Amino acid sequence: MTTWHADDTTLARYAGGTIDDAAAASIEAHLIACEPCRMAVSAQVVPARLDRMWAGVLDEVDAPTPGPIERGLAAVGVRPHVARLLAATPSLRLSWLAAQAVALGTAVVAAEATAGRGADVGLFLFLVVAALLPVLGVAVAYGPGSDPAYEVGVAAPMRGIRLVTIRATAVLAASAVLAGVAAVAAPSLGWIAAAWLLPSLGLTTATLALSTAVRPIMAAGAVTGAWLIVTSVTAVRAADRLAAFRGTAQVLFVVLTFVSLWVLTRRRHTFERGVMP
Amino acid sequence: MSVPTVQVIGVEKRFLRTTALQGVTFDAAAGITGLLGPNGAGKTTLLRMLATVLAPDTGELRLLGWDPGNAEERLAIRRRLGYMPQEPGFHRNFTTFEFVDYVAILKEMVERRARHDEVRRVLSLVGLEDVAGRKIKNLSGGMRRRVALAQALLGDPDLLVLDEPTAGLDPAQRLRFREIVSERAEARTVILSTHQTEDVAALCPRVVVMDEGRALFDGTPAELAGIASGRVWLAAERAADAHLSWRAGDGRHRHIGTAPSGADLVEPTVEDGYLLLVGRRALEAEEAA
Amino acid sequence: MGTDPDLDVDPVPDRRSDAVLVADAADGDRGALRVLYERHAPWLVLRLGRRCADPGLVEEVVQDTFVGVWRGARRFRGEGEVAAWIWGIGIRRLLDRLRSRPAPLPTAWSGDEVFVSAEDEVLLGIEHGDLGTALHQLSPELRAVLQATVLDGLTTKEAARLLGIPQGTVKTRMQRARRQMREALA
Repeated sequence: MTTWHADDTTLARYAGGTIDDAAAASIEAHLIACEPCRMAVSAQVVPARLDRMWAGVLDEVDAPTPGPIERGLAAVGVRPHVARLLAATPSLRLSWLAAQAVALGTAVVAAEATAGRGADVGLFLFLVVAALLPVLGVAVAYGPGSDPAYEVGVAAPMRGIRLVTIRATAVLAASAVLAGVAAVAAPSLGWIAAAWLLPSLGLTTATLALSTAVRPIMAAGAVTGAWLIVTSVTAVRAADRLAAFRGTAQVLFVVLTFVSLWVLTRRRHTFERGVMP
Repeated sequence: MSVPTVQVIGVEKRFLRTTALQGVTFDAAAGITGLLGPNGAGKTTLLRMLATVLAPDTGELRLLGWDPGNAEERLAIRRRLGYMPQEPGFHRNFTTFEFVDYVAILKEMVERRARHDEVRRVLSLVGLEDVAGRKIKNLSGGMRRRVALAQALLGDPDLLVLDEPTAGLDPAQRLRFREIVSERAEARTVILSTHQTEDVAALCPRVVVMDEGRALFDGTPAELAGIASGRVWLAAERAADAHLSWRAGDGRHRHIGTAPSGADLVEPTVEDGYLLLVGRRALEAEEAA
Repeated sequence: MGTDPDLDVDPVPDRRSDAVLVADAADGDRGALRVLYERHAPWLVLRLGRRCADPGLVEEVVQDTFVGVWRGARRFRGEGEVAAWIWGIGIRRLLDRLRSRPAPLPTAWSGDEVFVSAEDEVLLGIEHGDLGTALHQLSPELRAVLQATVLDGLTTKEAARLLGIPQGTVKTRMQRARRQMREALA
């Protein structure tokens, strides 16, 4: 590089567009390598213009780049700030969803393997697991044990029940989608593969209702335990292993859902105060 | 005293095995009020109540003129409140900006552009604008505390409740923290807790000393120091019957208690007054800090 | 060395080299991006302004460029000037924008003659001499193609998009330009 530098007049004419192409080309090539001349030419641009562009840069840089989940949610029509709230939910992260997929996948494989042998063991397993997954997801969706910013959230104006409902709905929807995909992937199961839907709704709302009295993880534990006991007992004692998923039982789950929602609504104020771990 | 913005009246709180608060009563107005006391004094429980997170078993609270026991009024308080908990937690993979943005959403800031401007405003208040894009897990302890303070400043609250905001900070960081807080305290009410008397002496025109769930003192730092007036002396040897004594910097022993005649009395500090009230447990906690 | 972020220090002019700033920006240091912006945004605005006559579009492109610098900082391998890397990002951002929204070219590129003063010739005498004269003897269209490919480092396809002409035309104009330059300098 030579010691040639552009003087201020030349730079002013470059900036003003009154310089010819050859000179401009020369200056531009020079600026790539010369810091002092870059500094000199910066005086040729209106500061307000630079500030305005910087504000635009900041806006893009700071705005958290939405992860795949958030983009998926936006595609479904979820509002951006709600999607941001959901992004902070542990059970909606890819690792959690992957674990659910694995659990369901295993159940499906088991179901396929034992299908047509009349034993229905695999199908039973699938239905039990599929109904249970959202319960586990809801257990870690909120509350002092799993939300690091729990106290800050309680002290914030957003109503506790609203945050809980948003997250629980998202968890339920995510689990439903996964289980639905799994059911479709195992065509030999037939329509009964959808029999987990109402039970999962009933169990999840029951967990939410219980968590107005005890911590979410304990509520989920109780519901899980009860579910496993009920399904095991009916499978052993009834002639039909899938008794817990047949017609009458489905009605019971509808009732359970409504009762749970009623309790939840009546006791929603308990989410307004903090539960200390 | 000017119109109180915070009123605590006969508040009690019992947990399974302990009584955290046994009838605490005090008022606070605009400006900074310090809650001074050793660990286990009940400061955190009281601050949680001021932040509307916990409800008292008995007693009354009035925050900014509203009753946190009433659902609608509690909402009104929360809209004018900023709370920095003792153990601030952050979501694992969030950047500084993302976390404060998340809290801003919880504070009902729905509109994206305005919310982001507000997040940037509080981040620059605490001097963290350059690390807005860095993950919180990669920040130092002092910077994490500042993130926790930043989220409390969102929305320019009238009531700031800060639980041990300077814990774990080195002297330079603590000084910076005090500057940020004292700037904010102009027309607002700030209630902070600490077990460091120097924080109180430097920052709080009002001090409430707490121990074992009770408020033992309510006044200015000078008045707190004044409690120990005539009761602090230095001696070459340790006196056995003093209330408290420890080795001072120059090798002599500083004593608090009933001074023997002819003792070398010294001007009491805020710390002396505090220790006189709170005793041995506080001394051990201070030495460990 | 940067300032300790935990201390309240008066701002000192940042002495970090461009390459260090890019590395720091890759680590999430927004302050580093700010310094890069202060150093490089002005010339970028001017240079892009000489390729696109729409000032609003130029501003959007400059914004996009620095967002691109922030997001792609990790990919900078430290080879060559940071300014050249930034130009590469910027000109390609401009091309992306032009794909969806064709914009007017500045007069110097669209065929109107620009007055060349005797002064310019003297000033540039050290740098260009014959080269400058040879360049002036080209028609504006040929000059534009030469500058797009040689100075801006664009491919034939990209130059075609920038100038709003078919790729084949770019190629033929390049050949003609080179031939004329060779003849002029011979």
